[in-house]
Amino acid sequence: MASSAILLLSLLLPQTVPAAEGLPAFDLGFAEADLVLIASPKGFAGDRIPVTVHSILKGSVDGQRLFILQPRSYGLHVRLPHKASPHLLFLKETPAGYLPLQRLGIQIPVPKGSRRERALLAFVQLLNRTAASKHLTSTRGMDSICRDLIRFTRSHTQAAPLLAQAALLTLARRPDLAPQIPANELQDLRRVLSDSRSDPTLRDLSARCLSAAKDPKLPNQLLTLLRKGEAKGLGPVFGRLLAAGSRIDSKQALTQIHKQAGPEARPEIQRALKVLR
Amino acid sequence: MTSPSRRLWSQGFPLAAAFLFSACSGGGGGDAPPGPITSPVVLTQAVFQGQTPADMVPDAGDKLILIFSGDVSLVAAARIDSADLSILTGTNAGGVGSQGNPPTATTSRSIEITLGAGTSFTPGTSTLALLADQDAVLDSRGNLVQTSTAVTIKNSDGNNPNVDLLTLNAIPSDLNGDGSAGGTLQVPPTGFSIDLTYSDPSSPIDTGTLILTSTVALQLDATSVLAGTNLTPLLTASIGAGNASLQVPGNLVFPDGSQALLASIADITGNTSAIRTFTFTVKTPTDALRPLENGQLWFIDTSRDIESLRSTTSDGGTTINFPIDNLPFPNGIPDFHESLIILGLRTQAPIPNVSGSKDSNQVTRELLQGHILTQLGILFQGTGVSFTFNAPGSFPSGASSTGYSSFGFSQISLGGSSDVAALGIAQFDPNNTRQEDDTLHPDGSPTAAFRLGVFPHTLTANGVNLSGSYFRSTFDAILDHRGLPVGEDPGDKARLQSLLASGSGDTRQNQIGLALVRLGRILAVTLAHECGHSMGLVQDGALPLGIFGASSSFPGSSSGHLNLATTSIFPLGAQEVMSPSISFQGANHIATGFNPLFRAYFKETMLYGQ
Repeated sequence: MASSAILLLSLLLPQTVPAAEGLPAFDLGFAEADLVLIASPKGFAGDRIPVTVHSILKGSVDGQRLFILQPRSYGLHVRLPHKASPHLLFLKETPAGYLPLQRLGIQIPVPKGSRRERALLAFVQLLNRTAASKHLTSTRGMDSICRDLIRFTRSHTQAAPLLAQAALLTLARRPDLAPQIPANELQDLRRVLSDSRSDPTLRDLSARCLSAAKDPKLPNQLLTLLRKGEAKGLGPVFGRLLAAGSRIDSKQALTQIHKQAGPEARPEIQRALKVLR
Repeated sequence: MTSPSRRLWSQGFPLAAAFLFSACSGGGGGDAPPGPITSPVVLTQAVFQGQTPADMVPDAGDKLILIFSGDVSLVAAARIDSADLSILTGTNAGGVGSQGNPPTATTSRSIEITLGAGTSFTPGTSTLALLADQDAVLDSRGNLVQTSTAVTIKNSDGNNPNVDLLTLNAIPSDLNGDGSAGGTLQVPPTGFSIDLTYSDPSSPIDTGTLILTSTVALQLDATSVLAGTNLTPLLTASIGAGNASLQVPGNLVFPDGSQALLASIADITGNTSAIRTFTFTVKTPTDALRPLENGQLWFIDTSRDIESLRSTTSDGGTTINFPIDNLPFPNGIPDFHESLIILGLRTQAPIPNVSGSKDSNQVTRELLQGHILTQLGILFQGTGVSFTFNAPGSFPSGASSTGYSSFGFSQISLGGSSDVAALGIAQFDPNNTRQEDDTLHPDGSPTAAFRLGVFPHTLTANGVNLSGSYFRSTFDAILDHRGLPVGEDPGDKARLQSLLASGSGDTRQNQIGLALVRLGRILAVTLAHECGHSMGLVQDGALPLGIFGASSSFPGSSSGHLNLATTSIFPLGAQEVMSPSISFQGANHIATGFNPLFRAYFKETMLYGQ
C-alpha cells in the first residue's frame, strides 16, 4: 500500500481562478512547518533521504546532516529531489520522522550564493517578523513590517517575481496587520492597482491588500477600473472585494456602471456581477 | 446524435443487406457450424468530379471516383470501361468514354477513373453498377469484386470529409495512446464503445456511409466475424452529424492481443474520408486487474476525534485565528463537528425541532451530507462505486487494508486538519485489490505515518483571512466570529425547512444554501480524489502498464497524479479530479470530474497492468 495526497492550490490554476489564490503559500508553509531550512538531498538511504543542511531558517536540528522520511511506497505529491542542489525545505515533525510539508510550489531550488538565495533569505526574515507580529500586543512595529513587505515586492518584481508576489500575498492574508500600512505605501498599492500595464497578479494582490487595509478609496477605484475597461481578468476578485468591504450596494453600483461602460468593459463587469449572484 | 439503434439496418444500407445474406448463409445445415460472417466488398459510391463543383457536365479529363466497402486493388494495366460498368440514365445507356490510361487507387478503398472521349452520364441522375464479369477490381483476398446494387452517380463538392477522431470509450487523443504521452490503450474483449468525430468543410456527412472494420477476426456468439467485415451493423450505433458512438454488445468479442480498427465516412456528395486507424490491445481481465468486480462501497466516517480544534478572533472577526491550543488530542467532539463549528455550519445552541425532532445542527449536517452524496453520485455516475455515511460494519481490527473480496467496504475519515497541510491523504492501491482503511493516523492502531482522510480545516486555513477569496465570499456571512452561524438566527428554522424543501428564500437562506452546496462539492471532489487513489488511480507510466501518473507529457503531474491543465479535455476553469492540487473554485466548476480514461477504468471498459 502506498499513500497519496491532494493539495489545495496549484501553480497551474485555470485563468478563471483569481491569480493570487493559485500562488504558493510560503506564509502558511512557514507557519505550519516545524523546520525550515536550505539543504541538499543526497540520494536514498532506505526509506529516508539524507540531506546536508546549509542553513536553518526556522527550528533547530543537531548537526549538518538530517534524514527526511520518504517511504518509496508512498505517493506523496511533494517529494524531495534526489541528489539535488540546495533547496528550500519545509518539514513537519511527525512521530515517524520529518516529512516534507504537502504544500505545492514552496520547495524551490536555492542556488548557493545566487541572487535568489539572497532574496529568499530576506523574504524568510520578513516571514519570520510577520509571523512574530501575531504576538504583538500593540500596533507598534506593524507598520514597518507592512512597509518592508511592500518594498520587498517592489524591489524583487523583476529578479524574483514569485517571491515578490508571495510577499504581497502574505500581507493580503493578514487583515490584522494591513491596516497599519503607511500612507505612502497605500498610495503605491493604489498606483499598481490602477496601472493596467502592471502584472495582473500584482494588481490582484494590491487590491486584496487595500481591502485588508480597509482603504476607503478602494470601492470607487475598483468601479472606475471596471467602467474604463481596465480590469481585464480581475472582475471576479473585484466583485468579491466590492461585496465584502463596501458600504455601497455592490450589485446596484455594478449594474449602473455596466450601463455606462463601453463594450470592451462589459464582459469583466459581468464577471464581477456574476460572483454577487 | 440520433437515438441509439441499429439504424443502418432500416436504412437499406447496401452493406447491411450484404451482411445479412452472408451471416445467414452458413446457418441452415443442422449440425454444421455456422459459416463466418463477412461483408463482401461492394461498390458503395460513385462520385463525379468536374473542373469545379458547379461543373455538372462530364468531359474527357474529368474524374469518376468509385468507392468500395472494403479494401480493393486494381488488376495491373486493366482499364475500366463498358465491359466492367453499366451506366444508365433512365433507360438510356451511358459510359465513361474510351480509356487511355488505367484507373488509379486514391485510397485503399477507392479508385479514380479519368473520363475519356465519348463519356456520357448525368451526375445526380445516372446510376452505375459494376458488371458481373468486371475484371479490373480485386478485393483484399484477391477475388474480383462482385456486382451489386447500382448507385447514383453524385456530383462532388470538391471537399473530402475527415474522421477527426477514432477512439474507444470516448477517450481523447491525449490519453488513448495517440498523443505525445504514447502507450497503447488496453480494453476488455467486449462492452466498450467505439467513438468517432468527423467533419466536412462544405457538405453534411452522410451518416449511412460509416464503415468500420477490424484488422482481426471477432466472435459473434459462436460465429466468426472475419477481419475487414463492416462492423457498423453489428454494433448498437448512435450516429450523428458530427460524431458517432457505437457500443460493442456483450455477444461480440474481440480477441486478445494487438489489433486496430479502421473507419471512413462520406459526405452527401459522395466524397469519402481517408481511412482513420486506431491501434489498441485487448486483454481478458482477471480479478486482479479488475478494480470493481464486486463493486465498491465507501463508508465516509465523520466520527474521528483526534484533535481539539477551534477558532478565535481579537478584532471582531476581521482576523480568524487558530490558537496554539488546537492540539492533536481528542476532546470528545468529532473533528468533523469542530470543522463545521469553525465554518459556521454548527452552533453550540442549535434551534430544536427544525425537522421533526431534529435540531438545526442535525438538519444542516444532513443537508451537507446530502450534497456530498449527490456530488459523489455525479462524479462516479455509471460505475459500481457508491458511498454512505452509515457504517456498514466494523473494519477488521488491526488492519490498514484487507483483501478486496474478503470484506465488503473501504472507509475514509472526513473532518479536522492534516498534519502535513494536505487537503486529503489516502492509501494507494493499484487495481483496487484491497479494501482500505483511510481513517488511520499516527496515534492509532495500526499506525500510519500521517493522518489519512479528507481535511476541511486545511481549506479553511487557506482562505479564511485572504481578502477577496472564494472561501470568504462563500462563508463570511455565516463564519463563526465573523458572520452569524447557522442556527443562531431565529429565522434559520424556516430557512432550513425551506432548504429541505428546495424552496426559495431570503438572502441569508441563499448564503446558507450556497455554503452547503459549495462545501459539499469540494468535499465530494476531494473524497473522489482520495478514494480514487485507494481504487487504483493514478498508476505511474504510460498505457497499458500505467495511466499516465507522473507523465512528463502532462506538466504539473506527479507520482499518482495527472494534471490535464495543458490539454483541452476540460473547459477553462474546470479540472481533472486526480490533479495534484485543487482549488475551492475549481472544484466547484460544473465540468470538474474524472477524465474519460479514468471513467472507463471505473466502468471496467479499460484496464491497466499485465
